[in-house]
Amino acid sequence: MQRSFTIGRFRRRRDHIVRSASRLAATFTAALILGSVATPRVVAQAAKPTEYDVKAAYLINFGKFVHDSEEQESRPSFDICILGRDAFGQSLNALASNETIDHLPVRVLHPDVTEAKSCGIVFISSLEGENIREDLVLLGNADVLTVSDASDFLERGGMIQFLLVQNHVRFAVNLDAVNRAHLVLSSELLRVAFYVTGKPPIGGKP
Amino acid sequence: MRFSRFPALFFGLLPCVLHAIEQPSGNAALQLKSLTLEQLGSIEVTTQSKEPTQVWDTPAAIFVLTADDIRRSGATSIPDALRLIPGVNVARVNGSRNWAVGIRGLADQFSKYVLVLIDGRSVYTPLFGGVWWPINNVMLEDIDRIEVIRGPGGTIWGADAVNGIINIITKHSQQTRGALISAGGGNVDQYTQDLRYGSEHRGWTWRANAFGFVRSPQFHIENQPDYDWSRDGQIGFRADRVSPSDEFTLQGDAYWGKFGDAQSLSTYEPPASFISYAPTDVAGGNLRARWRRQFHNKSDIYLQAFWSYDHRIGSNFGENRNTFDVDFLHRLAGTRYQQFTWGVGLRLSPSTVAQVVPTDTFIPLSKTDSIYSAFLQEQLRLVPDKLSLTVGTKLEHNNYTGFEYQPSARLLFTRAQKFSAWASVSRAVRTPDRLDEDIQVDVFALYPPPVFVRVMGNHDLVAERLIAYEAGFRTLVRPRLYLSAAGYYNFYRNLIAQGPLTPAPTPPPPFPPGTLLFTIQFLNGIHGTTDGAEIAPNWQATSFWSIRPGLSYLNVDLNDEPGFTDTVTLKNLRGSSPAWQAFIQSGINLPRHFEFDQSFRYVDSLPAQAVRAYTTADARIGWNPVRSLELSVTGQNLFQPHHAEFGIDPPPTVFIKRGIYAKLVWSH
Repeated sequence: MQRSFTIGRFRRRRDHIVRSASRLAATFTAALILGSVATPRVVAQAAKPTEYDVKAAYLINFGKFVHDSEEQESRPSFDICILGRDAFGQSLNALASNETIDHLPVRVLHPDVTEAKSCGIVFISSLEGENIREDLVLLGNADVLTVSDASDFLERGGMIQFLLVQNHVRFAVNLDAVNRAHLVLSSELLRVAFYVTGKPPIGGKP
Repeated sequence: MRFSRFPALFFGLLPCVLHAIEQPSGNAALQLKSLTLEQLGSIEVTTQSKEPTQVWDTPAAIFVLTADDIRRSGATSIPDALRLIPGVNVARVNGSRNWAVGIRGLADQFSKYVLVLIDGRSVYTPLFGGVWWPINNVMLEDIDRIEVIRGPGGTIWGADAVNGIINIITKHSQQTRGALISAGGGNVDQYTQDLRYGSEHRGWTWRANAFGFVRSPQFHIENQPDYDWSRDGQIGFRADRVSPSDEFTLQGDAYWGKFGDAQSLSTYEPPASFISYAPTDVAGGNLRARWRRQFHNKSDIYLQAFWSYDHRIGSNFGENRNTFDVDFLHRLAGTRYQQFTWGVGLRLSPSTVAQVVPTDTFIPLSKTDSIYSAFLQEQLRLVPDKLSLTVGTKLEHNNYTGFEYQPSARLLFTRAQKFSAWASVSRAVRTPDRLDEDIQVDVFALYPPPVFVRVMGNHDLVAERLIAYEAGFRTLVRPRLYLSAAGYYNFYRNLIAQGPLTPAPTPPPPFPPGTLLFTIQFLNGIHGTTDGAEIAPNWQATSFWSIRPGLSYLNVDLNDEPGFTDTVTLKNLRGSSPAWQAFIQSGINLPRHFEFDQSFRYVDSLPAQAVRAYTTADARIGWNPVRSLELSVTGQNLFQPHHAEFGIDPPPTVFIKRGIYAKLVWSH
């Protein structure tokens, strides 16, 4: 009884919406065409790097600044493994191609967590949420550098955590986790870290 | 039918075009190949994920408008920036008066059912129980984000946060170092100028700003004067000090302005009514201090105090108001299963009305509004990191209705940041304001014989009450597609309405002899329900193109309470908020540092305001040729030369014009 509109009014309203929607679609098509005509230049012009472009570059660099304190059997490649949703797009692949770490070619893989122990670096997506705890337990003390951008990664036992500090990508290090895995991080890397928690290795340089 | 070809063309074209233009972002990454760790840390990036983490864990319908959203929307004022939030409806009344902002219905020219905060300082005025947008300006380049919560927030924020909360948060002074100059002009926003400088000194970071605007009148039908121009200027500062365990903030603003206006006023002798075009003058300022300390056991305390002063004088009446407020909040260290938060607050607001014409007054002229409040909230983590229940209540004492309580219970379920769902039931109240309680306005109606109507306040009003049942969810449907939706069922009671026309005995002077007097008194007279839903997907279509559509629906089923027969306010409440609202916002990053942004919106009709449904669009082209310079041209309300959004008194309705303006921002 409150809302009574006649069929005629409903039809007029529907036509009005339809007319508006067609104007909408027309302008959208125009925008699309504008976008696509301008595109050929996109390849040459690089946009501002995204958060994940910079994180991908950091991962490659981390590989160069970490080494094993124990003797390790030789492996065919240095693997950067991603657990969970891969938000890097093409950036990590682009940086890894033709790159070497410790004279080994770099590969980007997406294994299951149980196969991740043979990786050089494991990046765990923040969307893994609760599973991060499990993932780190399964990795155990394997000599794999664990990196993530989950907000409490270091507290859960992760080694390097990405932080976003006023639109700059920085990272923090948990030395306790690093030492448990018998890895050593170069002092150059520690110096640039936003902050470092945990104790330095006994006998190592502070 | 002809129209159906366009959507078909659009959707047919879309996949081909996307395939052709989707370029791997690897090219941007390759620039970083030879950089050192230090260099990587100094690059400024654009972040991909739009929803901040806090949104996932909030058991309410929350929407966060970022600084970038505001910049790219081309909005020149905060209410205009709120137009593209699902569930919020914004109607511009004219060029100088208020915006009617409503969340989930009950919109009116006072924005009464929405609580607006600027950096935690409430800008609610007890004069008419709402917010007056034209005097609450924040320099748009200073805004870090605007958080909008649809639904009652009474438990934390207290009374008057009935339908929603709009929290405007400015950037920390650490982020606004250096100089910024912005200047713009156009046909509607004729002149805007923003200046800012920030720096640091001995552990404090600070900034000072000054800004002002001149706005032209909107469109008036023939022979009506262009009275709704406005001019405003404001200066302000902010200083922050951050140490490992403490954060201090000190802020202040001072403003002054002049707004053209039209008011219909009456005179006793000769008995007549007329329209006054005398402008309104405003001036005021505020000062706010805040201290937050975090303890080693992760508990923290928060103490805030502010003072604000507002002065207004118009052709109908004037007001001087001071507001003093102190709030304290303590969040105890949480255990694995629960976390307690509690707080107390006090607000005192002495004010004096200045009478300008004999027919308009408040009884008494001076009054101090006071609110004493305490709140307690417990978050129970029923299944840690998966299911939590938050229960709490606020208890307040105010000088109009005594004690009021506002409890709420909220349930939140989260699954690994890909999906969260929530449901809540809450009670919220809106206390009567000075207009409801103390006003006395004599309005001339007819002659001969002289007939006057006296609109009177009522000292026996009780608070308006809402019980809201809400639920919603948010999810990452696919890595690039985020979806959030919410629905609600609101039960209202004791809504204040204009009472019936009642004959009164022959009044004494100053009424002319032989006057017939009728009175209208405000009464608690309306109850009923509103219900509706909002859905807002967010699609990162390609790395350079993001699309954000939104749809909201509102159904109003309010009625007079038994024994209450007047329908003036009822018609207004039923017909002043749109049933349907839809919008699409699109942002495209073009090569050579160009940006092309568009937004389209459809707003359903407002029968009580005699406003038809309309569709319109804004478009903006921005260019960032060097890091320190940004140029933009924005067109607003492009589809029609002018359209109506809300009615006004005195009539006729003012139409909102199509506008275009250009802006230049230089920063260093």
